Amino acid sequence: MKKILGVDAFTCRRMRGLIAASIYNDLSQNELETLQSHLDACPSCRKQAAALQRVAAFIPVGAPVLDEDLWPAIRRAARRSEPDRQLTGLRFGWRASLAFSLCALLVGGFTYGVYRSYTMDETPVVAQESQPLENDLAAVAAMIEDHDYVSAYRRLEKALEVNPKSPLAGEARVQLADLAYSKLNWYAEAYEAYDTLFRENPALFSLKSECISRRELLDEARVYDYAPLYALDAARRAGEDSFERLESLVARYPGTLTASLAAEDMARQSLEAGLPGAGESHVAAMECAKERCNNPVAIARLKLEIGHIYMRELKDAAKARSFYNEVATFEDKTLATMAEGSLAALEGPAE
Amino acid sequence: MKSDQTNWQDLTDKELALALKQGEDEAFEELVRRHQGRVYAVAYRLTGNREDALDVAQDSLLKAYQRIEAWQPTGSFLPWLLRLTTNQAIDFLRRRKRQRHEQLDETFVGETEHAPIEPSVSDTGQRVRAQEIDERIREALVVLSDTQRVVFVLRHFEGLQLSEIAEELGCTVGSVKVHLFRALKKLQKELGDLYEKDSGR
Repeated sequence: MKKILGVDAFTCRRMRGLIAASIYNDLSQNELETLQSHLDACPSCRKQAAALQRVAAFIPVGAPVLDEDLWPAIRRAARRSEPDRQLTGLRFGWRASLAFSLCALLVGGFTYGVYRSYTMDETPVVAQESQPLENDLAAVAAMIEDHDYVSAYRRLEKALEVNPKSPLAGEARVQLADLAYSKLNWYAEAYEAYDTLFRENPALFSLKSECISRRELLDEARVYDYAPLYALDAARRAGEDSFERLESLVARYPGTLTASLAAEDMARQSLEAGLPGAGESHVAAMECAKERCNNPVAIARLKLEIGHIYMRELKDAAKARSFYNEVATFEDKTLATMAEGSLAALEGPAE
Repeated sequence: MKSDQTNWQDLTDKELALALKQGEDEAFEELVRRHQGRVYAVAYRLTGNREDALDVAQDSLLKAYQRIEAWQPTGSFLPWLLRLTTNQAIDFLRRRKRQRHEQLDETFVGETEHAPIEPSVSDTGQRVRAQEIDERIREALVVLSDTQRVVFVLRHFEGLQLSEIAEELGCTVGSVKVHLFRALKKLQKELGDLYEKDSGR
């Protein structure tokens, strides 16, 4: 039976919740009818409903955009704060299986050692040590093929703990660092791994230009707790917003190597978007990217990149100088100093 | 049981949360990647700046991981997570408020009392105006009671149903509606001068 609602204060008070819910269309049909009947009869509540409707309409619902991936920081924080409940395969189940694997490895190694001591005394010690890492590297290769990068990383990490001096340790460290950097985006771990490689296997490290450049990049990014690199990852995953995110990253960290990587991404995206002229050359693609930018700091950074392309790839010192000169007078001190440094290098005595 | 081949991206929130409860930590990575944007958005609306919002979002997600045992499979995961985020943000705001009181009492008072905003006259007036409005909205949200703020943020910004919010808060839908009404009333009082000006111009 439908109630006839009066317009006394008690009824008005009862209508408040319905008014609020009606603003968000969160009422049942019955509630809607009840409210409507009341509003038809009550000018005060009608006015109230209209006023609240206005304030709700005034407050924009657009969401602030997250410009970095929180996962790496959360994973690190969890590992620090919660020894009993750690992330990414570090919990009891995994640890139990790891302990089992290590026991198996140790028992196996011991048995193998005893067997070797009886049968192959003349075999060099190195050969005994390298065997376990060989197996690990083979297992890791299979895991990588299956895209199980976390397990591969853990396997390498533990194998290196057991066999840090193996002749294959350098190779394992390269794989560990590469996995952390390019597959898992675990930048703190990647830096540690490249740095260990640099210290423990300097000869191998010096042969790998990618390791050298990544260590340099990570060393710089760790000052910011790797935020520029996480922002780069987030920007690359941002689909249609990718270019804007990259621009924002460049503007936020203009003096970093990560900004240079982001600028290259912006040039590549301009090329892939088929912008007029972008496909003509590297410098043209970077010019197109610069034209798409709105942020003055990002524009200045891309000008610096264009200067570098003229200097390093096209050997056109005059063009490079003109771009560097523009940036050298820019208000951002970091970029201005970088441009001055490049100008000084240009003017310096030729080797 | 865990499978190295599990494609976490194909699972629903509930399946992921259940897997996490059962010890599959990799499910949590997918939950974080899926919802970190919304968690951050809630945190940002309540704290009002990027750095604090990042801290709150990170703490909230970490707490979700640590307290997953408390999540009930009968409910949805997202409202639980957002509720946890709002709690975390409220705790943060209380700490910040207390610190400010301790450090410089007048500063806090100054921040909660608003002089009327004069219309912007420069070419970038619209942008400046938008920033002013954003700031005023954030400050107005701080004026709400904790429950009012939670209800308003989850309904207005996150679009959760009132019944979902009630489930999360452990109260009736009727009570949530009243909190929402009071929140809107307070916001009307705090922000009325802004949109009256806009409509008058």
